[in-house]
Amino acid sequence: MKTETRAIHLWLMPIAVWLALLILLGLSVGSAYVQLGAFNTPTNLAIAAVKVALVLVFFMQLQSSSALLRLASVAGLFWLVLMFGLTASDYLTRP
Amino acid sequence: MSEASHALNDPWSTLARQRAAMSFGVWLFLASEVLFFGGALLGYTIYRDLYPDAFRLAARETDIVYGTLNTAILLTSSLTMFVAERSAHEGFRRTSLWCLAATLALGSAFLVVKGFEYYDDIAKGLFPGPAFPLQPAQTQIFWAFYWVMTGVHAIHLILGLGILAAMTVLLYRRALPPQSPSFQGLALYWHFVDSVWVVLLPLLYLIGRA
Amino acid sequence: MTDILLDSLPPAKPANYLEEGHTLASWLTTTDHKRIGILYALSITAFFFIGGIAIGIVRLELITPHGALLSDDQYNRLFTLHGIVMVWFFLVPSIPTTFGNFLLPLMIGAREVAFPRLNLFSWYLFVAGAVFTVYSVIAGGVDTGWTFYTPFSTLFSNSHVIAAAAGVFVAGFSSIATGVNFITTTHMLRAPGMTWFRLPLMVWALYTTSIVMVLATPVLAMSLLLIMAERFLGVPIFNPNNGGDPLLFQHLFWFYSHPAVYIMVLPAMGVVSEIFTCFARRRVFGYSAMVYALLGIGVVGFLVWGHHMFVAGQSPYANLVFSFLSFMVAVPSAIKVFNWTATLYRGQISFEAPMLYAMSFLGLFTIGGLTGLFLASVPIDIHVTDTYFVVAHFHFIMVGGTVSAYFAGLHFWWPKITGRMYHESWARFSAVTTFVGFMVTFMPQFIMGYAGMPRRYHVYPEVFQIYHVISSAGALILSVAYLFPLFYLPWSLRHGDRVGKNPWGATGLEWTTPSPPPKDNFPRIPRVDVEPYAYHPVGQSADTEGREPHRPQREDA
Repeated sequence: MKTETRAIHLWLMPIAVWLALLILLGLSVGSAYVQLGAFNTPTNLAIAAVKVALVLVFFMQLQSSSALLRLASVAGLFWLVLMFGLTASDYLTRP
Repeated sequence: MSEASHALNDPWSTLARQRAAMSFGVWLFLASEVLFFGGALLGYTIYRDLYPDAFRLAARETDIVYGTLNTAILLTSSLTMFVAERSAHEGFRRTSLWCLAATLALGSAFLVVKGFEYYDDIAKGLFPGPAFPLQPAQTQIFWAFYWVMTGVHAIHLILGLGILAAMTVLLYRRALPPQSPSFQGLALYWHFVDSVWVVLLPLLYLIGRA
Repeated sequence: MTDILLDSLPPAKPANYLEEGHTLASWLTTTDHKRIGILYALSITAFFFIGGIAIGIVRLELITPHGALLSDDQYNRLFTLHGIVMVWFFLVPSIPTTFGNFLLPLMIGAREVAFPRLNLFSWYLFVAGAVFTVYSVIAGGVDTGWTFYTPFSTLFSNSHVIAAAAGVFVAGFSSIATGVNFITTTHMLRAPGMTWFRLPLMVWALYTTSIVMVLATPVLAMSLLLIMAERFLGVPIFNPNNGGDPLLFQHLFWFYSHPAVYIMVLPAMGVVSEIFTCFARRRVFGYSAMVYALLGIGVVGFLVWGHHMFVAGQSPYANLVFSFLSFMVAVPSAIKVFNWTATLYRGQISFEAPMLYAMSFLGLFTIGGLTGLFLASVPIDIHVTDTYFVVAHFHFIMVGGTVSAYFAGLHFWWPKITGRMYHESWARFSAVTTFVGFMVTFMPQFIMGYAGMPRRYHVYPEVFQIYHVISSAGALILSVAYLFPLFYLPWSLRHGDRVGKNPWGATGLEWTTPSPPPKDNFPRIPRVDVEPYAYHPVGQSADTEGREPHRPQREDA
């Protein structure tokens, strides 16, 4: 059985990512209270996107995954864009 | 190593291949989940575009303290789940068990907080129906999506907790070897459920605050 | 002395996958993809007949224009039952879960699918969904149409919407599980030498279908979840009184349900590609184009759903976009029809039952596809929407197309699956009768639809009665034609000729195994070094004499 203390090396990267995520959480909640007008929503969504990207790349190990896995990981999102886009072609052009 | 070979299933000839297949399969499943939640997100987006003021008014009634706390809990649970999976992969069984238990605890904490939040929401009458306190009528649509999206997310979390608990017990009893690719599958699913919440936070809790 | 000798012999190894355990439990706990394929086949056959009986009663009712047999409510529940059962419990699973499950590992040279236990779980999910749906029928049925349109389904229907929707919801996850399994299997379990462009077109078809299943089905699940939530919890989502938009449901529903028809037709295209090549003794014309056409149909099929909503309140601009894309999606389908035709050209064609069914597919799919072009045109669609023209169009594709291909595959692979050959004359008779019955049933529907006969009505102007009578007569012929295989196929299990590995002289790895195959498919994983459909040397015409593949796949690694 391996010496369990050697597992420390496993914590370094994830803790760094976790701290970044918490900072981004604080940023998004804080910025929600700042009067940014039309920019509040894109700001919050952009911060959420960065958080999801951090989870994807580091926690879900996409950085060290094969091209096939990376393709699978964006497939859903790409199809979502198609769904949103074509539906928008209806709602945005309604009289 | 006999523990590793114990993890190997038909029809795979090597554990590395089985692990790659597990990751690929789970990612495909997560792609379907993106579209599942995406359907609800589409509905939310359409209605928010149609009724921006009603949505802003309605969203102000969500509890930002509960929402932020729960986000922090889930992000931490992703941390512990990551270490649980990596340590299992490298054979650190005890570290893995402690981290799995921590993830279980944090996931349960999320549900407890959510429970309190739902209780408060209902006490404020924020369930769409005749006693709904807000106007105009479109605010009920926001709250309909709130209940559906957080409810579906919670169901995903509960299912994840169930599988997590089962795998923790099996690992403890040495019925499941730590090298099993199942831990990778579970971890991917867990991080996904976390990511969904990260997206729900700005949509449900952070509009109409300024 | 002989007894001792006999006792000291090792127990006989089961000869094939059917001999591995004879108990019900061995079937219900199997992880063998071949047995799971059979479990699915039995389930969908039962549902085919349930859906068929429902529409039999409907066609009986439609013989007279005054609603003699059924009340309005009963009529609504019957055609809804027909639609729900046929779409989700027959057509969507049909070819992928039966032939797909049985053949995919065999065709790529694998022993199993990637996730055998998930495969069994997918069947149980299907059965669970079926239980909900059967419950909804027994409890009195649902009257919303298979499309569950809001706000009728959410606010006004007094029928078992939640049970029916829940059944479809659960069955949808069976689809997703199958899709994930097939995609992973195709990527990761191909035998050495089985490169992507050596795969049979059936595998490409199953692969594309699986991608569509994985990406489209969850949106259906959400659309159904939202109407269940609105109905059960009373939360307004599509309620116009709260600003809800019923058309949003249609966007979500059709985002799945249009790709769903490609889930139904792509595997059928895979089946007929296998059959045309074998029974014309020809390499497929334009293999690469066939592959890209499959993928093109799969992708572009996701972009056309709005053509179901041209008159529902969608903006004219969106109508234009969806109309254009709907014309585009016909192109890859047309390429396939041209290539099948070119495959047959200069072939040495023989007319066994699989070929008759496949030719049925070719003609009927083409007619169905062409009428799809009419429907893609907005002005024509406005005229024929919600009429029998639309009903005829989709039945030409789904019944004329997919069901013909299903029967084609059933006959083609029956000897491989069972080790027995069916009775050829009866099968040919069934194939011809099916074609005749189909044309008599559905051709009049184009005419009366264009003349204005609305769908989902059982009381109609007398001027349409003649068409309905002809159509119902055709339905009677069709039902006899579908019943026939139910007799001669099981009959062959006892009395049919036993077959060897390759009774058709076909290419493909599945034909290198014994009939029926052993549990683990291949004693040694084969090493592939031939291109697909190597029925004759490149540049030469089909072999007039032999029925052996020109360069058969080596059976030993």
